[in-house]
Amino acid sequence: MPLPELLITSPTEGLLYEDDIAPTFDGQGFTATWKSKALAPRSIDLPKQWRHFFVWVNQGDGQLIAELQLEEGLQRIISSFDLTAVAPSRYGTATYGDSVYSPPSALIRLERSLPREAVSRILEIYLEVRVPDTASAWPIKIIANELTYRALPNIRLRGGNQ
Amino acid sequence: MIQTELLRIAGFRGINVRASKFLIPDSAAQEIVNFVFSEEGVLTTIGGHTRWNATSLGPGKIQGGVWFRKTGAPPELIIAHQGKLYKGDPDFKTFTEIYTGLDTEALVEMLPYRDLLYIVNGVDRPLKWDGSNVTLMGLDAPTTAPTATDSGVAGNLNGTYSWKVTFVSPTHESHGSPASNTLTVTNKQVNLSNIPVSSDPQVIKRRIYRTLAGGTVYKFVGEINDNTTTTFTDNVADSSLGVDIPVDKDPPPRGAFLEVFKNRLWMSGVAGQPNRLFFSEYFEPEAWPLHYYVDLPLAQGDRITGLKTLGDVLVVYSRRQPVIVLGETPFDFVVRRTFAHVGPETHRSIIRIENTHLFFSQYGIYAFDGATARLLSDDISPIIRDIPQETLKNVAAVYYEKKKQARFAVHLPQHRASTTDRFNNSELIYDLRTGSWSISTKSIQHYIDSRDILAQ
Repeated sequence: MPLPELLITSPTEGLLYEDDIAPTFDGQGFTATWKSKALAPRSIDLPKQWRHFFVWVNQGDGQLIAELQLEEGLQRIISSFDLTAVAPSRYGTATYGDSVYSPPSALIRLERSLPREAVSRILEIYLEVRVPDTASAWPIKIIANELTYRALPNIRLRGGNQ
Repeated sequence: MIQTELLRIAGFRGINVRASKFLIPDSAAQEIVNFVFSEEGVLTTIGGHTRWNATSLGPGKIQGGVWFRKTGAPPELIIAHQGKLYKGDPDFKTFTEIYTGLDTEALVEMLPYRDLLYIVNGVDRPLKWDGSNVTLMGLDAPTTAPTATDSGVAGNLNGTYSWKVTFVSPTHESHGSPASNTLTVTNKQVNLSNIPVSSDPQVIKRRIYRTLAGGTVYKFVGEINDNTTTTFTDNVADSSLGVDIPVDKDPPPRGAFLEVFKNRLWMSGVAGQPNRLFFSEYFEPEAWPLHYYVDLPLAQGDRITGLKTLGDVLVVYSRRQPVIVLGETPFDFVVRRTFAHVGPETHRSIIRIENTHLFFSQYGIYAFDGATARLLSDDISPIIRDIPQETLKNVAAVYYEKKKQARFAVHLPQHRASTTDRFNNSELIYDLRTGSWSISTKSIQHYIDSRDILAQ
């Protein structure tokens, strides 16, 4: 039997774990979070009527939540998008909500309208991607494929007039 | 519809919490937890882990562990837990106790060398595992002298003599005992009695040494092939005596960590001797002459925290500086200062990646090339700054070659389950290909990799 490449030991129990071979931590789900650079309107010339976000995320084979969080002073407006609930975009045919593998070209388009009065006072914008539980699949790949890499940015956060 | 692109992330890079979240590069992130960058342009969730041993050995941390393969034997996993040593079976993933009596808190370091596994913890006497038994590293010399008497039987001894005894294990021979009484005989055989017996189970025989007539140097007479017989008859003529009695076979100090360099074992971390570097005899890892040591000129309050070879030199780390040891023998070993002014917190936090060491210090994670240290963790310096001082002694590290990651197990206050927790609860992960940092929420006391075993 091949030896485990890497064992990790518990700091509290007489237990060892074989590392990097499972989708979970000892059978337990875990949350993975990635939070982008913050954008401040002061440094970006936002259109006055700007009130629309589009985020393109290349679908992986798990369930994702992309979150836009807008700060207005101390008050936060959080817009969450459960990717499992978003209809497939025109770019792909992946089935969401299942642990099926989606084609690398599949993209999800997230669209969120914001109230005009809120948008005019946005202080901070960032993109946050969370994988709340990886029990369904592993690894989960977000936002990447050759097409994206060659021709498209991996993530695009856009504001626009409509 | 007019669209303005606000943010373009062309590939993922690591955390940057040193600069303002508005000023960091687009590809950097404010937070990355349990994601890695194993594939360019992809956010991949970190690999999980599954339990290796189905049954816990009980509460308390695993104090140390290593894979060990004796020549011709299958690999074994040796671990320390709650003051006991266990042998793990890689097929059945079960453990068998092989030793008890170690300190239950001290971290245990293990180093394979010349087909034995050496085990130290800075508290107890160093041990060794030979694949069958755990025994003391080195041997205590006999503390009582044999008694010599004239047998009255005609023989080959003619003059004035005295005798000494040594203990012998399968891997080592001790110093000589105190000298026996002096005896003058004329062409007689001599009976020895009260030959000391060792309480150390690794002793399998004793050796008898004697002076030449009127001499002072003890030479080999013969062996007793057990550890029970207390008598011996000497009828060996002076001209037939063998080699000189061993000297400089002192047992090792109670160091906390070991390294192999120039066919010797090197050890430090001895309580009360924070700046002393010990080394063994050439090709004799169980012989530690009392005068084989170097006292390093450390700053006040500093202490040696780790040993690791780098190319053809031994790097001796303290918390404030690394120095290097050059040379081949005790006569020409020299200690040279380097241009670095920072060192690791623990021996376990040093990893070797090709021709560089990476180590964790309270000021950051550095790469040391033998001359200078370069800070790698500037982007996450606020995270390192928040690690509680009292948890630094538990920092461990590994180079995970499969994914080209340097991983450091640490305690981060933001991942505490309760306010009293102080064990390692997170990892700082450095991706060597992209030079980027991420964090995992894995609780890890120690890493045990099998690269050296696989290479055999």
